[in-house]
Amino acid sequence: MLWNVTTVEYLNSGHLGCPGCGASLSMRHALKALGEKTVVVIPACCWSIIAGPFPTTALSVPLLHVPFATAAACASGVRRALITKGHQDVQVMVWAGDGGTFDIGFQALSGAADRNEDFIYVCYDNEAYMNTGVQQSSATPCGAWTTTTPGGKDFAYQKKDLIGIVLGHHPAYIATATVSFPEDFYLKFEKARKAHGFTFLHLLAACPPGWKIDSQDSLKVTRLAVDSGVFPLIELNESGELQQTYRPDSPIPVKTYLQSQKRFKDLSDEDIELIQAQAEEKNKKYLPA
Amino acid sequence: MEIINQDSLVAPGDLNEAPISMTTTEGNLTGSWKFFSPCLQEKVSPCRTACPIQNNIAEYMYFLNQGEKDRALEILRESNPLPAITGRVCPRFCQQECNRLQLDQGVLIGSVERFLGDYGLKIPYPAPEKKRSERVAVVGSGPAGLAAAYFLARAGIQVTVYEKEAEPGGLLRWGIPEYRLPKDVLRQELDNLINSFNIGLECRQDMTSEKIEALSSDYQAVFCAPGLGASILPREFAGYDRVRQGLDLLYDLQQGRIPEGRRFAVIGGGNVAVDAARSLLRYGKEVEIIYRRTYAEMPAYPDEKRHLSEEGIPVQEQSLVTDITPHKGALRLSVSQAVKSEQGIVPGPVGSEQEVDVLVLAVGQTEHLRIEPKERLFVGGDLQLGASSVVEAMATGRQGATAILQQLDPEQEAPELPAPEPAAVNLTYVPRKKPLLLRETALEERVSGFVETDPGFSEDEAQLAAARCLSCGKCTACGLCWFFCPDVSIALETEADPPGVTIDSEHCKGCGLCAFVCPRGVIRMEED
Ligand SMILES: Cc1cc2nc3c(=O)[nH]c(=O)nc-3n(C[C@H](O)[C@H](O)[C@H](O)COP(=O)(O)OP(=O)(O)OC[C@H]3O[C@@H](n4cnc5c(N)ncnc54)[C@H](O)[C@@H]3O)c2cc1C
Ligand code: SF4
Ligand code: SF4
Repeated sequence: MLWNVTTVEYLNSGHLGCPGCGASLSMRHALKALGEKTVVVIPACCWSIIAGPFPTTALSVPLLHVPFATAAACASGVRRALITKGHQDVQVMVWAGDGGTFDIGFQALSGAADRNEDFIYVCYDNEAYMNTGVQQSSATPCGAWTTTTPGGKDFAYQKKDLIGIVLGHHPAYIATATVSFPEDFYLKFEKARKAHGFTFLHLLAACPPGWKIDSQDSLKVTRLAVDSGVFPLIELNESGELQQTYRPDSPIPVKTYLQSQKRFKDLSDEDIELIQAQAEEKNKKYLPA
Repeated sequence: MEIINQDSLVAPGDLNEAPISMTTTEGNLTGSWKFFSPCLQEKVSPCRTACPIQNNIAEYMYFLNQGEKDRALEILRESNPLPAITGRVCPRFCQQECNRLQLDQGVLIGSVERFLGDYGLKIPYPAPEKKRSERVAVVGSGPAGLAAAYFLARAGIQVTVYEKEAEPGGLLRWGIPEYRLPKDVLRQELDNLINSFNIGLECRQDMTSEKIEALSSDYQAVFCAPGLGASILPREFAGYDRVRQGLDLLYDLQQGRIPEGRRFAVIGGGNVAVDAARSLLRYGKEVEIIYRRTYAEMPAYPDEKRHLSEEGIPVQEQSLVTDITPHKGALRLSVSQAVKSEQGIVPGPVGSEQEVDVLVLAVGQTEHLRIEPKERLFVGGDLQLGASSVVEAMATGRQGATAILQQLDPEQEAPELPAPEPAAVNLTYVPRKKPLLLRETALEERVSGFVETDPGFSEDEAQLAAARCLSCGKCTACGLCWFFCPDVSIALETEADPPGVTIDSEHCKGCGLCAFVCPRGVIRMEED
């Protein structure tokens, strides 16, 4: 089978993700990578809807819907309950959007990371509160249109550097990934599965309506994010350093990435230059040549 | 609705109060959301479109990759009766259009074709499904005549080929030298073709226009492809016995008649010039080419030109021979620099003299027989097209055969090739592969005899080469669309023949990611 991926599916069709939803495709492959013995914890986010209304579920593994701010706390509880009941071989995975991670669930995330709780925290970042109608979050990049930033997000507020913050909690494993780079994506889930302690995976997940792109472009756009250095694919290696796991053959300017989405359509040339500089600076900080 | 995976649920127990969803979302028929539907439609690969005989490359490469050599050969033979020959001498129109050129290295189609052709040399062609009573005559056993004979015989027609020479093949035998097309391969492939279909072969029949006219009353139809046969002789070179025509020289060489003399100059820049020069070199002659335009403009095939340079044959480019004088049993040539003017290419002021024993002309061919096509008389090959190539000549043979069959049986619809809709490929998810190297016979060995310059592919190499083919336009059940479907709405059928995918239109939301990722351009989104 392609990339040795199992043909068993844990995501059911008929889920309520939008056409071309990156978060749905990411879930499909995250579960294929982790396997049947996985408990998924979902705070309020797009996935609260995608999973289907009561009495239906889009997953064929257990899924807990929990309050917005509590994903990491609930996952800590699930892990402890599993330990108490003697289930050592079950994975616990938080599956939270950027709102529930960067903003509202931030405190619980920090607490769990600090306690080095043994679960995988996945943030599928689509860079705004999408299911409530595209409101900005602290994960929204500068210049992006949302309904609360109709003229583009103010350049005074850069996208929060969550990798930097979580890194400060000394996690067991941390990585960025996006499903348009499948081999890299699977490798990182595999490493997260094997790690003991708190692991954090930051996924970039395209949102066709929120990013104002064609559903058919949702893979292409996240590939451009990687190739332009806006979203570098990185991980924490064994010696405790961040390293790039994929180096684009031919790096492209961020302009190409920005112009692929209508949420950035009002950017001026100076804005684009600024974003280019920000991306370069961030890459320099984490990935010294 | 199906109750899912109860075993993996935490037993409700003290969670009695909590609502637990137990049914799958599959009951939501999200297919009703879509505005576009993915449609599976195989396309024609660009290589096939570029091939004058439209070999189904994507398909035979696919079966070769599956280890089904016989099926691959069968598909190749559907359009190409002479793959061991074309695999060697065709200039590879297909390879220039290969989609894989955009990724790493184009597929070496010709070498795979040659491998399959050689594999088929001893495998008879499948017998026609039904025998028919009609008889058709073919004049000329070059590639055009043989292709026509093949497509007619395959349809069950009784074919008789009339050939002027003692042996069949036309320019394949008398033109193209042994180091590019060994006579042994030629003989085996022609014998296999002729014997498999019981094609009648009448050699040493020099057909005049009258005789051809007569044939059309004895046979239901006649296909005429006697080639060009005559060479152009510019006036200033007429009447010298040390001036030879390139084609005649090649003809003699192929029969082992080696001309006297040591120093040869060949005028021309096409395949005849290059083949004559390279052949003479192999007989130990000193040879050079004199060409009126630049080396880059020489119309001979690029590989031939490269071999010419490698073998150290000098080309005096932009040069014109303006005068020849016999001198002590040799020829003295006045050579001028060629300059472009409004009257064409004319001799410039700078000139020099040189002496040669034989001057070879290779400045073009012309018809030696004039035949007007009429109701039951069809014309093809170089006579119809002007000097062309082996597969282009074969293509006219196929067209001629189709036209004849149509005339014999007006009810029957002509077999139609699929419309050449190019497959829009996406190479994003095609892994790069190491380029393959084409081996060539060592230079010393090459120039000291007539061993093939291109030794061809071993079975392993041919497999590696075939594995690079994407089979553009044909679903191979590679699984990319399945992998990237966010709605779990594609099922792969790897075991089916042909393999494929099915789309669950009840759940597919029409996002189009499958159409985007398909490396072979098989899926197209159509508005509902
Ligand atoms: C030196 C040379 C090298 C070439 N190299 C290549 C190459 O590498 N690749 C490529 O694709 N093409 C090559 N070509 C071109 C290619 O060979 C021709 O385009 C092709 O052979 C034309 O096919 P045909 O069937 O029309 O004619 P021919 O091949 O010329 O065959 C015509 C046949 O008809 C017979 N005939 C003629 N008159 C009569 C008659 N009156 N009665 C009965 N029979 C008759 C002839 O004897 C001959 O057998 C080369 C050509 C030459 C001259
Ligand atoms: S990859 Fe194969 S099918 Fe596609 S153009 Fe090249 S040879 Fe033809
Ligand atoms: S992606 Fe692969 S399996 Fe899907 S239609 Fe294209 S060739 Fe077939």
